[in-house]
Amino acid sequence: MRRLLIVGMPESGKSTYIGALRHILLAKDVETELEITNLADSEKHLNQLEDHWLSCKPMERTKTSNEAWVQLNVRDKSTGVESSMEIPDLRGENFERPAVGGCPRPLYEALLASDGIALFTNANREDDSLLIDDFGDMFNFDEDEKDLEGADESANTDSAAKDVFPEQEPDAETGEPRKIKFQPENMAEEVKIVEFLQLANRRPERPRLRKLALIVSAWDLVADEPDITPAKWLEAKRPMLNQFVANNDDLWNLRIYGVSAQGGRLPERKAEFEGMMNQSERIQVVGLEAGRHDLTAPLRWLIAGS
Amino acid sequence: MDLQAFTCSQDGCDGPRSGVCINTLSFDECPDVIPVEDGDVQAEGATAADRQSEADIVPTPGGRSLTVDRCDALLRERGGVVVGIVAGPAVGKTTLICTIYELIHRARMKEFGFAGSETLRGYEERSFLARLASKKTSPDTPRTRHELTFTHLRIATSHGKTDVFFADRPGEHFDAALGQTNHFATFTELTRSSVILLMVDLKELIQKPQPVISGVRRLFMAMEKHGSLSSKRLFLLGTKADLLTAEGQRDTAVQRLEQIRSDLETRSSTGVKPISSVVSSRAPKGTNRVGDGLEKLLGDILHPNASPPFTLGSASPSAPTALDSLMVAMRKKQS
Repeated sequence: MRRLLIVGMPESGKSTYIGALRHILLAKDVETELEITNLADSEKHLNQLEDHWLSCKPMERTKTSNEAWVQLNVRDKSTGVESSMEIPDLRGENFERPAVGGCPRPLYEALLASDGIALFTNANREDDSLLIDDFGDMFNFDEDEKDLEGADESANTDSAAKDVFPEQEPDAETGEPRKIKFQPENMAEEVKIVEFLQLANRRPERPRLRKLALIVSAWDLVADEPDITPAKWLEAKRPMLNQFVANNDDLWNLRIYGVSAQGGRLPERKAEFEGMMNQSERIQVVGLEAGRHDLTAPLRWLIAGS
Repeated sequence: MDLQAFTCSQDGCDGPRSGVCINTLSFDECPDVIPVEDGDVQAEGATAADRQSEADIVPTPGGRSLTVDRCDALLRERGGVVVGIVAGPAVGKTTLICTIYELIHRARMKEFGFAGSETLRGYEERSFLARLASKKTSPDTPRTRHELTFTHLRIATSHGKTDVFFADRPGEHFDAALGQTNHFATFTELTRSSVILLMVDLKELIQKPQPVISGVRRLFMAMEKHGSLSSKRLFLLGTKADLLTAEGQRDTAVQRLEQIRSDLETRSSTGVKPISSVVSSRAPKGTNRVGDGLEKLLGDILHPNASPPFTLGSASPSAPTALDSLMVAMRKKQS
């Protein structure tokens, strides 16, 4: 049995992917690299995810009460090799824990035992750690030197700055501006991902090479940008993660995919998708050896021998 | 949701089993709600729940800044370069450390790449006030408090990956040690380091040159007296160049920095040859050029084979006679 782990911070598209994957495996109405061999003993969670995906609603966040490990029994169509994949569908908060300190034991053990990891990051989430200095040429932040009269350009940029930095509400008790404190939970997504990946090879564990399928979800939002590829997107939008994996290629064998399991924005396109005879065709996949709608391509690569 | 199958990981909260959430959330939403193993469902009270929760969590370092012991453990495991940073308060020690981190992890240094860090949270805490997320309108750095800590970066270079440890000690410690110089012998990061950055605030050097020069000279002499500079590379690092906006200010500051460097080299009794360098961690006003000079500095720090060869040196009595002094002068001349 190949042990795979699906990893991603909250709302990175893990559950949507699993729901859509389950559908195309059962429906067999688009070309896929993998096919299902038989159902697992427990299918309740997969049924729920698939039903939700078919209803064309945005997937609800996974909660403690509906976390589950799902099993998929599949066959590689080209080699005939059968595999049983055990995949956790866990709350994204579990994957944030190591960056704060501590990791849920089942997840930690699954990480160490994993042969391959499907790592999700959402294209709809921009860089959330922008530097103030990066806007130094756009905004005039210096209140003391601000020329309030007869400076049209600076008035415009100051107005823009106010939009970015709305005045903070004063503290009710002290009347002073409320301080924003550092919260480790609010660190940038890629910082938390890198910390999680570092766990896999940190002493006392013995470092080893693993496959990493990096899946950029909500790919439909960026697919129309000229010359964009998942690799270019990763380099531009997740530079820390991109460098970490590239500079540790003795530990991480990387492939990058762009995936839109929903196929477009919801609820805007709900009616359109609901009316489709073949909902599998709303799925979009971009990546090496991946068919247009084949969500199994990343998993097929992960379970294939090295 | 079967409430008896779940409990709460927070002290003093029984969560679903008591029916009350201390976070005033529904049990579906509360991030502290955790499942209880079957055998423990009947266990009573928060203590049992706490034990369960502790057993279910594997402790991880959490990316905090390194203590001296943890830094030593990592050094034994990986080797690496320890960078000691010496300056009084508000000269820009922490800002320098943070800006190197920011530039590397954002892939803004051509020659260097991010390959990991054991202190991600430590960096993020220090960098927070320079981010838009802090809702400040100008970048800031939190004051370094408490004791010595280290931040860590694993950096990919053209000659392989290197682990770099930056010491971060409150500037007040150095101020205090100038009055009691034997304290420098207890500054363990200086013992461990192969590179020391002696930092000079260039804006202060323009405005109040004599006190700044005097302070740098004292720091240098105190470190040399206690052996902190032997077999190490010393960088005399001018900081805050971004604040030198008036005509000719930067040239004047660089000239003065060079004079200090020359003065230190001349007065060194152990042959220390400081290297001068100028950086601006923050972007000059009206620009977004962050970290001018830092890539070159890092290149100099990590340059392979840059460390001077070890020499045993020669003993110097604590109360030298006239003959001893003559011998010291002769050895210095021979070297």
